[in-house]
Amino acid sequence: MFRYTKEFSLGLTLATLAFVAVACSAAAKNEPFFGKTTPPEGNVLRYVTGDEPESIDPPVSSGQPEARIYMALYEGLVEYHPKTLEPIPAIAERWDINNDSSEFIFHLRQNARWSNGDPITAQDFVYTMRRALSPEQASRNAYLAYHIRYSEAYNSGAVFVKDPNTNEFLLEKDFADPVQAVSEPLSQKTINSPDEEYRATAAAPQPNSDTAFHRFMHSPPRLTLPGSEKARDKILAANPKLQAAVRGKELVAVRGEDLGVEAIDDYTVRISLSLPAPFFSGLLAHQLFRFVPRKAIEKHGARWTDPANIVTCGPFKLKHWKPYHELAVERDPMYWDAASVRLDGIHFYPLLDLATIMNLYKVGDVDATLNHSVPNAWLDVVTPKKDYMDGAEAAISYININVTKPPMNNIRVRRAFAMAIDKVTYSKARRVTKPLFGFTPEGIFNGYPQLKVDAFNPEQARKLLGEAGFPVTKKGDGSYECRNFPLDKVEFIFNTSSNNKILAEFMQAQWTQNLGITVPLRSMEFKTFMVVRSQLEYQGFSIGIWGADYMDPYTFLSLFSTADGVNGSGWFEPKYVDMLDQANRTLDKAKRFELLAQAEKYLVEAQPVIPLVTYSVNFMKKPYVKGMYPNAGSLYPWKFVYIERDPEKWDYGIPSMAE
Amino acid sequence: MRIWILVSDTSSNMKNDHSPPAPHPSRGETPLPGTVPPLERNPDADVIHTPLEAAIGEGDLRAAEDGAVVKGSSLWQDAWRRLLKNKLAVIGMIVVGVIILASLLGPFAIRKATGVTPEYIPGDAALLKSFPPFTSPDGSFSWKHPMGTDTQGRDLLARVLQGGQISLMVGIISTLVSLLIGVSYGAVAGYIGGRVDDWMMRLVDVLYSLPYIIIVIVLLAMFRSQTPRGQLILLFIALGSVSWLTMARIVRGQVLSLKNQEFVLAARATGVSTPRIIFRHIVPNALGPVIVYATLTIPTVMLSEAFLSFLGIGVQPPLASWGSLATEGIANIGIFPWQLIFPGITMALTLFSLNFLGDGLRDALDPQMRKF
Amino acid sequence: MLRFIIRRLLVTIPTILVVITITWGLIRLAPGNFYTGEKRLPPAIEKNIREKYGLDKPWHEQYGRTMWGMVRHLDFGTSLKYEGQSVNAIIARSLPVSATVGILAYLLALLVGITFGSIAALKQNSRWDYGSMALAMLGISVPNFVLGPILVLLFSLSLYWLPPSRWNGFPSKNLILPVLTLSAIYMAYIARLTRAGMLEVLRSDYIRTARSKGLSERHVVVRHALRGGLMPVVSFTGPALAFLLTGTVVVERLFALPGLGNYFIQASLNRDEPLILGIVAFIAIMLLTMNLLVDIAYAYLDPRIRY
Repeated sequence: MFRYTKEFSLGLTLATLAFVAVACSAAAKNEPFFGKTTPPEGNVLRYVTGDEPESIDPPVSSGQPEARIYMALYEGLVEYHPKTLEPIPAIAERWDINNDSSEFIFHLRQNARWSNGDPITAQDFVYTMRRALSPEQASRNAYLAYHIRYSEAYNSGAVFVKDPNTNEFLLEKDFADPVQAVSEPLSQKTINSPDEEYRATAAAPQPNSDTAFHRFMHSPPRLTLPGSEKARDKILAANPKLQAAVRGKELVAVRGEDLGVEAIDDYTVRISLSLPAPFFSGLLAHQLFRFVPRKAIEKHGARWTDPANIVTCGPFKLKHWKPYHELAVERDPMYWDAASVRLDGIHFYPLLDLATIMNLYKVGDVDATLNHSVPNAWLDVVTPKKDYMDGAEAAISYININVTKPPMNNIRVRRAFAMAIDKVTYSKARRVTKPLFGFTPEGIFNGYPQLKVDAFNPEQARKLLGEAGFPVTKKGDGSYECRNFPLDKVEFIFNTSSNNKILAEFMQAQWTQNLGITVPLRSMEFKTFMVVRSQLEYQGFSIGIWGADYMDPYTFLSLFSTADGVNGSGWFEPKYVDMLDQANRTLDKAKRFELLAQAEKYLVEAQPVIPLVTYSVNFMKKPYVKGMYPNAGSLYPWKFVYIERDPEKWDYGIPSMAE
Repeated sequence: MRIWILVSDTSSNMKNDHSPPAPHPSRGETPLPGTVPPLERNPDADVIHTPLEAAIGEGDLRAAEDGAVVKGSSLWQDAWRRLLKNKLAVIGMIVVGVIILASLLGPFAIRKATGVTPEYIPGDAALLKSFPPFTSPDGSFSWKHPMGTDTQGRDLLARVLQGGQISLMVGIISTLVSLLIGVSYGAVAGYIGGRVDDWMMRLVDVLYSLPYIIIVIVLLAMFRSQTPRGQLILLFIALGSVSWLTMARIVRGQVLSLKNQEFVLAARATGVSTPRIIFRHIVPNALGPVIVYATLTIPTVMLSEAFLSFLGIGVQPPLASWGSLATEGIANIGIFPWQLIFPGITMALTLFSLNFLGDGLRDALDPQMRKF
Repeated sequence: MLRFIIRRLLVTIPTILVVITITWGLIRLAPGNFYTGEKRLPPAIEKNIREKYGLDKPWHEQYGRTMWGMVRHLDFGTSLKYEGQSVNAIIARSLPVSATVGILAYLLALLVGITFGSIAALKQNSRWDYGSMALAMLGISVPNFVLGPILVLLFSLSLYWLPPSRWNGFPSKNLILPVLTLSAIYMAYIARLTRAGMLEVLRSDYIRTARSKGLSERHVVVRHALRGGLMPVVSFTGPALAFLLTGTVVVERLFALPGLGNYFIQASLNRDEPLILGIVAFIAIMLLTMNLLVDIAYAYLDPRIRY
């Protein structure tokens, strides 16, 4: 039998070599675009949107994959601008903001219709908000609307306290901490004349809107207490004055009707906030605030999103949905702006695996991919291609430090580890990121004074460690060691993904080279990681990535403003929360940004985090796909997107982001 | 004669996507042609088939050609001699030996020659990328990285060899765990028989049907360990704890057919204690199939580990296994094919050799299994 | 026969229930919930979600509800992750995908495997024999997650002949690569089984008799040898099909197919309890039925088998 072994192995070797040659040559081709550039036959865009959508009911899901589908199917009062993501008119054709950004009036267009032809009215928006915030809906996004008056109370099932004799409610200000007492926003002050509240705009004379509900909104805020008896008793026990006041009073549940959203008439909506929020109109393009059809929901219940029952209001309507395969939408002739919708439809492909996505893109089976679909390792090969999209992104990555356990509870140790990381080299190596020195993304918020001091200083880091009782010594071969550092007390945890792995391995190498401390790495499956991190069941370091919910620095800075471990570091200081509050109450934008930046500096100096990089948008888009821009949130208003068949007019490079 | 019923092979497709399930019914006990008695199926004694039972029952029959019976020597010497006559098995043995040696010594040798460890990430950002085989950063020919580098600029050859340490270790240790648990469990169930056997086997059925991934997630989460080494040990336990099930079945089957033979009856008659009968008299006689099965478990476990790495719950970085290297390679197949090809070929070569070795061992240890 | 079937059912139904119970417990032990996400939810919102899905109830009540729905109505409830989609609908939708790929792969494996296996047996110890058997061994040794991407690299990314992934109904070009990837190991097994079976039969008395009667070699091979030699393959088919029908995780993931295996992995990672339980139970029931059918078929095929 040996006779043939030789021939066989020779054949096998030759086949392997030939295969390696073909494979390697395939990788090395030098073409202007990545793969095929033949436009699809139909006028239908094939887009990879990421994970399988959890639902097509807007308040349900919090993810970006769904956000992009909701943008095709539903519209809000406002829509994102395709380049800047600033709010542009959608179902509302214009809006007025009061003098301290605490109340908004939206004027709806009269020709907006549902996909079944019914008109869209102000009452629909009121219904949408009451549903989105109801405790039964249990929306994960509800916190985004907590700026609206009494929304948090309604969403968490809280109660008002009413005196049964006088029918008067207890007021918040009577029991507030005197130190925290601050000036009330305009939306809660009694208004004598509309002019006092709103700047007069020539285009829009204010409607006569002094309703009973408006006066209720403009009265001092009522006191709210938790709905559950246990939580309520705890608060009462801590505050004898409150306990005495509540005794014998009636508890009234906060209802959807108490929510600060009011339909003044069929086409005018007024939203009252409990705090000034200059960014609020931008927030309204978020999926939580997109219109949902009351009639269909009341008729079909949870099944209203079935293809047979669904009623939508966006530029496209649902054609079919085959989970884990594709979700197809087609042009909706009922849409108010149907004339300017240029695609006949969109096929959304739910795909997660980056290699699969890139392969499909290369062979021309998809026309554009979602953000971050280009694996880090591919960037060298792909960035020179003309269909590679790049742009500043409102997302950052950082390292959380668990400040509750030694030795990381020592600020010197935390700083030493922060100083030992060469962020500039890291972001160069990763190619599509910018080094980050503060806690807000670089180059996104116009006029925001960014922190720009690079703290990288291994010498100082070693010194700090020494001061903390962990002297670093130099070994004969030039490397460092830190003998008495408790290696069993630190680790670096991250959820499994190739990019996280690269990041963690780089940080590990940095600390080894600069401090002589090799921090053990632990990668975990996503859900496990999230629990371990938020419950601080780890020691040392954990990876953190955060993308903006809305276009304001506060969406990042507020991560560290709650005490309950949300941020994964266990760090909480009332002083920091005060600094943020004060900034948000400041009307002047520049002054507000300055105050926010001071808070940011305070946060970074306390070092519960080590900021690493600002991300860049990076995805692939065939040159014939037009009207799609690498904006900071990777959200595309689909009615502006189209397929261009004339190669002369294609995008040969990143389309200009200037307006 | 026992009946072969497949109750639920649920887990086999979760456990290991690679091996198909066994033929039905097992061919391990097919009587010699010409003497076939009527088959009678007993509905009470059911057995679930597993992927690897197939590999035992079914044979590459080549070795039989020159398997002349050697007389006057012990079973083991006999088997060894037969094994040496099977050239493919010998080649397999040599290749496996070479790969083990290379995995153990290779990383040190590479370090001596080039000063590069498998974990070494270059500090220069220009080197932090994947170079094709035999290519230096300026594009010219170079011997420095015969398999190229991975995404972080690490030498792929060094990583493949170091990955071999982990993969082989996973294979061998998990197989030992499965031997330890599987043999004792199967032997006890088979020897005691009756109701106890029924319950013990029912437990195996249940364990078989449980979703493997969730078990691993729970295990890794419950016993969170700090060091990569601790995680590795957990991985061994996780893999070993599910791979003993088939072993238990095979041993039980063997014991069932052995327990009524004269030597056992004799031992029992002379008052030997039950544990002693099981472990001194029966188990040694069942070792042939057990050892064969163990060789075939190694590749299966390696593939399971690779599958876990494929899902992202395998070995911890910066350690690598062939599975985790291949997973990285799959992600980069479009532009850095060498990242998949080299770990893939190394792994396939090892499994190829182990399979030949396993076939050879089966033929050598259990001549009855040969069909002619 | 009927008695046999009833006994079998009596034994295996409790087994399935125990499996489901333990799975239920395991899901509870695994960290995280279906709603665990990038940002920890404010406590009020988490409480709302727990109430909505009945997670605030005592554990025995939750367990009772789950089991009762399953036993009484064969209803596994609604997916937690994919709001409003029933588990039964998800299974009904993903099963045809898995089954299509699985059956096609097995048919291909039968065709190629039997051909090569018979050639190897008929020309024993020739280069044909060694060649095809070495190829078969290779098929067993190359993991499918290595084979699949390599096929994609060659036929999609380099030559642009075939789509690299995604489901596109039946028939479509999208099926070629997953079917090839999946069938490789089955081809190899079937080739080895066919060869072994044929060799055994070719040496048996009745073939010798047939030959001595002067029947043509072709007649002997096709009518007699192949028929007898394929018995091992027939017995292999039952479990293999049951296994293939219910989806193979790696191939479905590699080629992004919306099959049962893919759903199972996603459900496990998402902690989607009803979906996990539904799929575990479904696969167990499927396999049980398949195996029962195979045993019954056996009794008819082989008159020597009695129950």
